Amino acid sequence: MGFLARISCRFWIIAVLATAMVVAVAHVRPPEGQFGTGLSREKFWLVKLRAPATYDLVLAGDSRTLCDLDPASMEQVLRRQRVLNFGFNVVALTPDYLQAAADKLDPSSAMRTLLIGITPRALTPVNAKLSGYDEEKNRDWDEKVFNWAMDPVNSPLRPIMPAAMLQYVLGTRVSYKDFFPNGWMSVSLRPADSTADLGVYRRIFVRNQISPKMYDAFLGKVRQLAASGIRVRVVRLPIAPGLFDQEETKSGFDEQALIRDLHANGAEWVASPPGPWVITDGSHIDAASAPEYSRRLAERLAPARILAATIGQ
Amino acid sequence: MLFNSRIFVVFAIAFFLFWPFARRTLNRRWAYIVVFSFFFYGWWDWRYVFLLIGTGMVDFLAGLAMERRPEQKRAILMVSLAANLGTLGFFKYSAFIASNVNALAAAFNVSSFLPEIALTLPVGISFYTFQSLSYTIDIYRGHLKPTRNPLHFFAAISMFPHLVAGPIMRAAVLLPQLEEDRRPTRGQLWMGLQLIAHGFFKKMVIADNLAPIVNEAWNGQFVAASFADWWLLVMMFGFQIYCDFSGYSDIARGLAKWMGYEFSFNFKHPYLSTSLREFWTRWHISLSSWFRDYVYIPLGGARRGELRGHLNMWITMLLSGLWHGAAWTFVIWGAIHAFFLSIERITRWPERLRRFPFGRAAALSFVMAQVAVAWVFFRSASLHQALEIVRGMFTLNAFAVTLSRTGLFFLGLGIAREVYVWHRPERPQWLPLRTAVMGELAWYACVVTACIFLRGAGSAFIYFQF
Repeated sequence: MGFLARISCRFWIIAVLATAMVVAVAHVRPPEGQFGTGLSREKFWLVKLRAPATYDLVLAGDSRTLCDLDPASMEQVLRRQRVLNFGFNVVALTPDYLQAAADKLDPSSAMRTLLIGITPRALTPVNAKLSGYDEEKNRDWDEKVFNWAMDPVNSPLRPIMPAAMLQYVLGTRVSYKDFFPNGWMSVSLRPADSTADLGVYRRIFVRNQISPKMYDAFLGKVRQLAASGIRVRVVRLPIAPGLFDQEETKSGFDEQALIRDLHANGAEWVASPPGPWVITDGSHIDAASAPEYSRRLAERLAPARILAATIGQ
Repeated sequence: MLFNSRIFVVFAIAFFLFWPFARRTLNRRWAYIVVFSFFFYGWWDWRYVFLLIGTGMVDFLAGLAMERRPEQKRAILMVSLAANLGTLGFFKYSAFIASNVNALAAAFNVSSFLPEIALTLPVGISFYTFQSLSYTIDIYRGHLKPTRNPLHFFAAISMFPHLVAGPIMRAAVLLPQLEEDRRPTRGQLWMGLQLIAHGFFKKMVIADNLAPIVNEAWNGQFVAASFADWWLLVMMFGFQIYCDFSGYSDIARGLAKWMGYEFSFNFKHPYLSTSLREFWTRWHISLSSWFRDYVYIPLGGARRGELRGHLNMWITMLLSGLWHGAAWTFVIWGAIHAFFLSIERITRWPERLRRFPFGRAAALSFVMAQVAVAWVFFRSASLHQALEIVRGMFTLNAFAVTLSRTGLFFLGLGIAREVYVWHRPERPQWLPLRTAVMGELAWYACVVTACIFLRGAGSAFIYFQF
């Protein structure tokens, strides 16, 4: 046995072998993103939460807002406006969250606008319970410090299911997520599959419809923000037809009633730019298509003079 | 502080870095353990450290008083029991008792008169209360001499590896170990490493990956398509709680070994039991043996006739259920086990079944099914929910399995791991020892790699809530 009898030797052999295996897996695994933004998922949330109050337009909402709206593309249209994507996964449009989004607006800006990407899910109790915003906000400080410090290895050491690894190696399916400092998280599923999230949408509204209490609280907060001088605008971002049907039939969402209620509370409804858009997984616009969608949406937000100037360029 | 948190890694490194120097003299060793353990506990909420100290001091002083005044030791024990069970009752059961009393009053048209205050339950209170209780009870019985040093006492009661989720270490077992300067042996270090690796694998890979699927189902977000779905979901919960809790116990035992101490076994492959009685000798052994020694046997055990034996067993199981949580679902969980145990005692079906071909496998499956039905009540938020799920399990409507493949994969992995560890083949003669050891080291490297890449979303250990 020789040196193998010594525990310290065994410990070091395990450490060396494990390190070799980890490096090998990290090397062959699918990369998390395709654009090399230099920002890991963990640091991305920290950057977003700690964003200063220097923006003219803040985009608030759940993963559809998070993935569909690219602030850089919107800034190209909305000249001189600083845009932040404050979207989070599985977020609920609670007063607390909306206030946090509004707090990112520059108090001295004359164009303070909050654009809310509304989805039926964002007004359901399950989203309130599993809110990604709350999760990131309430993360322990030691974990935040660790995430910040370990930024370079966070992505390569991310968990990966064996099936996903196999699909990547065989080239049958791979998904990418890129994290941008302006709060946009781009997603891409290769090949695109507009039914990928259908199973989730079939389940999500089971015993989990829009909560009247949350709905009222949302309108109340909208009214309060509008009264404070913030321009509140609301848009329903696109999804694949199968998922849209689930929202329409099972969630208890009534778009026309919402539009009326929003107007009554000082907010404006913005119609989503017509597609077709590449909905990569059924509920999020593909990374390649999201900038164009963002520009088209920004055109609908822009005051006429800015738009004319932009088009004129 | 959670074993599966990053801060614990820093904590453990700091602890073991200076442990070889700290353990050399008695007071330094005990003080070192106490300081680190209080820090470990206080990381969650430092205010509750004072509760731990307060209840512990009552038992420490009760121990000394019983030695000094043996003629009053019964009264002193009562004070200790009242302090410990009173604290446990106040934090854990006051809202439950108040709501039930109020409900009963409402049934007689009397308005609610007890306030239902939902208190934050101090982490691990049920564990350290039982650990502390064993100290005074053992002194009362003359099985243990009280320690005169509070540091010695608190080092045993609050030692961080077992403090918040067991194994429930009795003072009589731990106090003598803490009196010795125990340098961990080579075997202990190696065994400790194995236990910690397996513990993290069970918790991070199996339990944490099964948790979201189980939670989704019990939160009403998953609509099971068939009875097969429900059985698989309950099996998933069974493996989640087993891997979660036994994983914690393994890590605790491994850390203790690195310190040079020995903690008792808490799990011995319970799902491979072929009778429910055997299951209870393999599941949460430190708790079941605590109840056996401090409740069941003092009640008379099975010595006072068969009927009394059943009654004592029922009392013990109901108390065990209540120990887990202040809800009727936990009491019913205990009652279901008691009911199945009574049937087993009367019919002796496991012995009879095992005589048949494949009888052992049939007995194992039947025990698993009984445990699974009981788990439904353990996991459910209400009796109504539990009954709905049990109905789903026994409504033979369809065979379709609609559960996610991820969940099935990790359930399969949990079962395969359990069977492999139980039937681990011995080294064949032709394989050189050196090669076999290298193979084992490679295996543990794979376990570490799996903990990194197959880890689920980190969550607290289930038994922390108890």
